[in-house]
Amino acid sequence: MGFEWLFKYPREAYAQGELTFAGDFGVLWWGVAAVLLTLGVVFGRRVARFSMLRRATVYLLQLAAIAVLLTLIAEPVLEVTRLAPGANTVAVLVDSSRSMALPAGIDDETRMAVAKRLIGDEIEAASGGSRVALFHFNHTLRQANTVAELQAEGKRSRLLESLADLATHYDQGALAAVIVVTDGAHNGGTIGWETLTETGIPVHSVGIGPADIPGDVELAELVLPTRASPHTQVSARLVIRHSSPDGEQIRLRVLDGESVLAAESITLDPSSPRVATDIVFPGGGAGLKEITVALEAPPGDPLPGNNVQSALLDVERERYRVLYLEGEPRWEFKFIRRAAAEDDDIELVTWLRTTPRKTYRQGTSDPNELADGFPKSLEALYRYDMVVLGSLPATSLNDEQHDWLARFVAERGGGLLAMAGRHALDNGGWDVKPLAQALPVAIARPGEHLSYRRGNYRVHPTDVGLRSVLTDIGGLESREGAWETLPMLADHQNLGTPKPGATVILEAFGGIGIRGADVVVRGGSAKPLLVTQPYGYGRTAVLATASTWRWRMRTPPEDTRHSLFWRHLIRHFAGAALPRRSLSLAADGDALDVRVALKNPRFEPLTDTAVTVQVTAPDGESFDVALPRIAGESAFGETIPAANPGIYRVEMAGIAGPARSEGGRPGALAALARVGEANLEQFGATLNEPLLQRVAQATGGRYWRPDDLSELADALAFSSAGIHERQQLPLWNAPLLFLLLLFLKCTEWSLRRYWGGI
Amino acid sequence: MGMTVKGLLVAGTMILAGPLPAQEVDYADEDGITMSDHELWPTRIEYDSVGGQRQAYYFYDGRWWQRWETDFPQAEQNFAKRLNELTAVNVSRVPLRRRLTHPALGDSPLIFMSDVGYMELSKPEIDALRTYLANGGFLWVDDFWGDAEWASLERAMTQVLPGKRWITLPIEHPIFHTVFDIEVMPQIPARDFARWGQGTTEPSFEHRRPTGNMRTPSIRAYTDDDGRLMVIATHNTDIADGWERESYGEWYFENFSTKSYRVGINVIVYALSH
Repeated sequence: MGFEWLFKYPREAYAQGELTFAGDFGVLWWGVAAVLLTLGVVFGRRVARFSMLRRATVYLLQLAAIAVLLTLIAEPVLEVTRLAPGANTVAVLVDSSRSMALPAGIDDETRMAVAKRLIGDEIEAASGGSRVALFHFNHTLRQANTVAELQAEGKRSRLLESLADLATHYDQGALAAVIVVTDGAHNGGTIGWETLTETGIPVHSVGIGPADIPGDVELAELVLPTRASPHTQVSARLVIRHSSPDGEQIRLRVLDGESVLAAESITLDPSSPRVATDIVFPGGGAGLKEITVALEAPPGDPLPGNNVQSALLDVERERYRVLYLEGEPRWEFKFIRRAAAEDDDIELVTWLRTTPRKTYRQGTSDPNELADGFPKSLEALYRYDMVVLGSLPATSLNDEQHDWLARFVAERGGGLLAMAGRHALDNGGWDVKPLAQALPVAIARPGEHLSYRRGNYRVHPTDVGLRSVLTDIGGLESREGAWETLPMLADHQNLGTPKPGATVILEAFGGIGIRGADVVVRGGSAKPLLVTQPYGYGRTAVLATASTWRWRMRTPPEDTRHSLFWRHLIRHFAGAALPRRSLSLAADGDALDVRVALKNPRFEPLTDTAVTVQVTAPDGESFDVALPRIAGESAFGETIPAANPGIYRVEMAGIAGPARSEGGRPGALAALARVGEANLEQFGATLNEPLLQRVAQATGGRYWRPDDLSELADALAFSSAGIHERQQLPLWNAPLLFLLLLFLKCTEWSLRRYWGGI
Repeated sequence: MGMTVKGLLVAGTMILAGPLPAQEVDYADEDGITMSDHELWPTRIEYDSVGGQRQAYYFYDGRWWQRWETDFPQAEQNFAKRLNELTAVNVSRVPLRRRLTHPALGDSPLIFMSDVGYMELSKPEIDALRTYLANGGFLWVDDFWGDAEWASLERAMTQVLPGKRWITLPIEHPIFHTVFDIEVMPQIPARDFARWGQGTTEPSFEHRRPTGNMRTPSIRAYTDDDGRLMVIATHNTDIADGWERESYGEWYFENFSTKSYRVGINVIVYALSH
């Protein structure tokens, strides 16, 4: 308001317009300028007794005042383009999803009621001479005739898709702007922001709804792997949003149908409205399962429907190929092999240096595998999902092989575990090799003293580690108890400081011990024992011990903790390796987004091919769909209509084209997705201001609060889109110029009065 | 008892000395032996034998010996030295002696027994050995000859692992090829019975009767459910004597010690890798 009073016109006019002069600089103007300057000089002689600095100040103030006067005489104008009256349309888009029936936080009105009131009272008036076209959206975009017919009944809010659809397909006139009235609770798919910005239509977003719903606890995100191996532990990542002021405790359950697979309690931290946590549960036997995670609704929860989420989990057998390179025969090697042998899904191939000139291979699939010690080519290395480095000096491998290992993690997405040992990590000179960058700790330069030491060490998971699948080693007791009662380790290698971004899963304590009777002098600070980090597409870890075998040899035979530790570790790192062929499937409203990526044996993307998938609908009907290549990406994808609610199966049916031989057989590459029926509108039901601000900013519009739409009319009048007409807006009578003139003369007068020169 | 007292004494010393920096004290066993930086500790099993002189114990080389300590500790010391020289295995040259009931038996995933012809295990020892083997421990029994001494071992092991059957390992078995390719299972006589031009079989009067045929050396074994060896018995041969007596003459060394080391190295690497 202040801006417009001072400058006479709104900000939008100045942002869009150009300053110029309507008058000419002819004889009159120059004459006036000469007279004013002469008067200034004559008048200035009266202040000749002032010091040089004071005289200069007075002259400058006088010159500035003369400049302002001359500017006014030159007739300054703002040249703008305004919407031509009667030639444009302003589209008003109202969110008609169910979340708009929730309270708006204003006078007990619903969000839809506020939207209707705003349209009738302010938005239609702000459109000026432009026609108003009314639309509403939920899972689709529809035109509305009257405000009265708008109802908050939609099951989805496809905000972004509806905006893009409106801006690109509106054909009933010149569209000058879009005003979207919504709570921003978008639960549709994603679109490229360039789709919105390329239309050039400014979107003004009006946000309705409270930023917080008191008492609401929401299971905002559930991230579950789509596949798991039979009889393994599965980790689900949850994000809980809450407004609990008291740090209350809520119960969390994981269910497969009626069966409770896991349960635990979580304390809601009042200082953190978003809580991320992991929960581990048994995946059970093979088959398709709908896993449900449920928060026990606290009393008075206004939206109990957002406490439950479900996801499909396809439990099927996967094989993990692991390469273990060991530089010396040691017990850890033997017992890792034994733990892996207990898991039918782990294929462990080992290369062991037995003497300075002899090696011993186990688990190889043919006589040539590892015949030269290390895989002969990058392709051969990429056939493994994980590499374990034992007590092996860095000099055992040449520079090219080191480079391959780093690429194995970064590009192939493989897992890599570096273990402690006499010849491992800094003792093995791994600090200077490319792989050092990939490891989660900074490898020190080899020192005079070995960092690898024997001793008795207790192991404890860190707080983060306690929530990791890596520490779920079973047992009837609590997870902490399962670790507390493990036999002590017999060695430790000092790892130094974990890198930023690394996660410490396990820590070691102690270091002094008496063998046999387990007399231990505790002390010392916690030392990182198992540290992990993502690197490129893969994951790396460092394990600062080689004596987990004690967990096997010093416990009863029925104790499975050693085996479970290693099986989880291998599955976690090998299981994250990228497949050469991937098919991802996501349900988006009443459509399926299918995406297929193919790679050759060197894990380079295959794009010179054609991919077909077979879709099986819930009623059993099947049909083939050819997937075009996604623009700008090395993948193939398509959005497939899925009208019937239920579970859809999509299977890769064929590969054609020059790259077919490298792409492998279509095989049983399939994915499942459930379409429809989810209670989406109770999730993320608070005002999503960041999204609405981003939409407005990306398109050249503005974000508005419902209680302050007074400047909307000006914003629309100077909209960059639509049919415009050119206007010159006079500025000679802008209050700012007169105030400036007054300020300059008053300042001069005051100074001269103070200096005694008047 | 002594073990506990020593442990307490060491702990008490530590407490009196105040808190020590974690990495200034080496890993030590209850006998105070420094164990720093060794992966494998040769571990000799101490057991009881039945009978009297020349049965449970015997006089040799100026002193009385119990059966369990035959060749101990010189055999282990020499073998450890050769292992460190010839292989990548990091072995302590200070051997341990343990009862099967020792609480830290699990710290030695490979244990060695010798001269078991008169051996008798107690119930706690039988239970402890069963647990040890079920956990993945590896037992090597050596230096017992003939049928009666075999029967002694078989009797004990039947109590440890009832229902298990001994198998005789063919020369194609991986244990004969882990490091060295052994074509024939060697018969190693004790140094006193090794004579140039004579056979390699020890005289029957030195062993428990009935001895039966002692001419054919073999490795007999128990395997676990996955086919991995868990107990091996080098029968009708004295592999450890080949280690112990390596310096007792060039002829014995070249003809017997070298073969003993080949077998020993293969067994150690097998135990460390399966």
